Amino acid sequence: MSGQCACTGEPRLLVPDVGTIVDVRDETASGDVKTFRIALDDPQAEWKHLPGQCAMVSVFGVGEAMISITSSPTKGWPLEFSVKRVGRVTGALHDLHPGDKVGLRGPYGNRFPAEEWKGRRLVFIAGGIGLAPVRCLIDWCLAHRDDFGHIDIIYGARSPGDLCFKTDLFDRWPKEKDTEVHLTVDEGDQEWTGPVGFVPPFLEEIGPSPENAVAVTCGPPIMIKFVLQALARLGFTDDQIVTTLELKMQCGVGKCGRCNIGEKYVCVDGPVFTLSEIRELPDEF
Amino acid sequence: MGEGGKGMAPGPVPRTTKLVEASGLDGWLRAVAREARVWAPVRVDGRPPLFREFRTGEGDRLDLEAVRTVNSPKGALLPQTEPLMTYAMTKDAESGRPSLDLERAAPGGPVVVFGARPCDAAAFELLDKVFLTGDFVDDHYQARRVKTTVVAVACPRPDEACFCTSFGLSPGGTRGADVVLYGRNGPGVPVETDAYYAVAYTERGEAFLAAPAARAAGVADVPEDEGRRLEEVVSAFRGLGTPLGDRLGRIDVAARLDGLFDHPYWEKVSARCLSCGACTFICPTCYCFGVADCGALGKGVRYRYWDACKLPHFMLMAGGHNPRPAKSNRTRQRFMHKLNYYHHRYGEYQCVGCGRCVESCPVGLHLPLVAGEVRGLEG
Repeated sequence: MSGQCACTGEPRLLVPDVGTIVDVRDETASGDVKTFRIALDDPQAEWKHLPGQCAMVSVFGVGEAMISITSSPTKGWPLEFSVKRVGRVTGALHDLHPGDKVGLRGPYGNRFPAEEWKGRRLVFIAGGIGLAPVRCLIDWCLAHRDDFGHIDIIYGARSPGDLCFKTDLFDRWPKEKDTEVHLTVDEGDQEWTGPVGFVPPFLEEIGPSPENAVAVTCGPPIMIKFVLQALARLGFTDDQIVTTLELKMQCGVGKCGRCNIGEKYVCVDGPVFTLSEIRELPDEF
Repeated sequence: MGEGGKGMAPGPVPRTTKLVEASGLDGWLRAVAREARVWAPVRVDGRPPLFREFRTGEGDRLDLEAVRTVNSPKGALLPQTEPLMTYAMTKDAESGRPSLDLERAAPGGPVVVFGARPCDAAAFELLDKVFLTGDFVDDHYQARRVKTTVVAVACPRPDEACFCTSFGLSPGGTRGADVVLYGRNGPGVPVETDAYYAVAYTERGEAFLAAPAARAAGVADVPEDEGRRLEEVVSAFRGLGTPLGDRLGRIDVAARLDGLFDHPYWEKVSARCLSCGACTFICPTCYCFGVADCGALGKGVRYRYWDACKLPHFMLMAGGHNPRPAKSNRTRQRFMHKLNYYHHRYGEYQCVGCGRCVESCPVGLHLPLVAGEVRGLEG
């Protein structure tokens, strides 16, 4: 047996801390993505996360879901979670308001190994709600801006109204040193004057150089599939491409068997993998 | 694994050996049950025996004769449903502000698993690897584990479904057991044994044999002139073969399976699977679980419950994506997990050859069949 003994007191591994929603922000025009700022009721229980890590968010009486932490560790608590309404737990979360109670446990999973990328150029490629985990990393990198070379942020959504984190996209990030934000939408509207088209061809059009670069991508599976092909054509090797995976999870701590792919558990061995690492795994996503 | 069986090194050194009359076991169990929750193979109304909590007041009868119980004793360490916490939401009458009371479930008292077969005792150590190692120690599991005493009983007559020897275990094995009971007449005897040698292999086992309950039940020292007989009996149990295991030989297919993920075999072998999940529930080493809230009106309990990779919904995600939509995907997952993934992660196989899947699968899709068949696959 290893680890510390839990002989005294009640077991706590799968029991969340109680938190309070301090703020809810609509990200999209349709309201299908909201960002929740959550504080822990007991500040002593606050933990520190790393970019790319996740937490189990509980809606009591409904259940738990693994959600990526959207705010950078450099911003501290309360933490932000951007959530798209897709199922039972996310639907129930969307019905909550500031002041309502939720549960939090974490942080879980590995992280983006950003400290290994010092001196390199960074290319972030995201689609839709896929920007949520990447935003945490972008803000972390921008907080350590001098450690990295040129930064490209390439992001697309179905429509202008579906672009998440508009303040970051239009106000904050473009003002950062040596940082370019490239936006595209599948379909424009009357006010949209920017590029129209899917993320993968848009990425190829921008054509970031693979030289001394790292590409980080997250989005819908179909987008990732074609982004990987586009990156390969641009000359990126599998070791230069990093992504973050999502699978059904129940425990978050490598026990319940749910997110098991080959000998890996996405919750503890991931969610961040290089493309080379993913190629070692059975194709079961 | 590897701890006994034919031509293998002798097992661990006994710390204490006692003798107990077979007729004294029931009284021993009842005395133990006054201070601990006791799990044992019990028979009620002549139905097939179950491994469950021994209820002293309800006509439960200890059954050490059946080769195996329908279910395994894993529920003693990993309950089929287990409360993790209770929650209650309230609203302050004046301010309307919500608050939430959360209470973590208290760990239970001591548990004695009495009369597990050596395969089932060994299975506890495979569960330990999952729950007690890695980045996180599962303290819900650990709180029970550290208070659990395992008393195994050596198998006198392994049957046609038994294959523990294929994984280096043996009908007289000691792995995972604090105490092993060896029938004094040795293996293979068709009548009930009159007495057992009770051999403690751990400190916990030694304390169990020295406890007042044991003394009161007539657990006594082994007569001095029986030393040689004791050694012969133990060694006979350890060297005993198993019918299916003898035919299969040693199962060592992890490397073989490395290249078989995309093999058409999985499609073929899974065609008859009913997706009932029985194999996972009766298996002593399957441990996958889910977590769910149960309650109403802002009050309820969060449980952990057994779940199964063989069931279609297991990986179904919000939004409708299912990474393993087909029976062949799920069948492959279960056998790859036991014979390849677990081996890569923990260095041994996730099977103890208890034979329950052989006995319980309604369509005969069981582990020894698959382990045997993959050896001969091309590709």
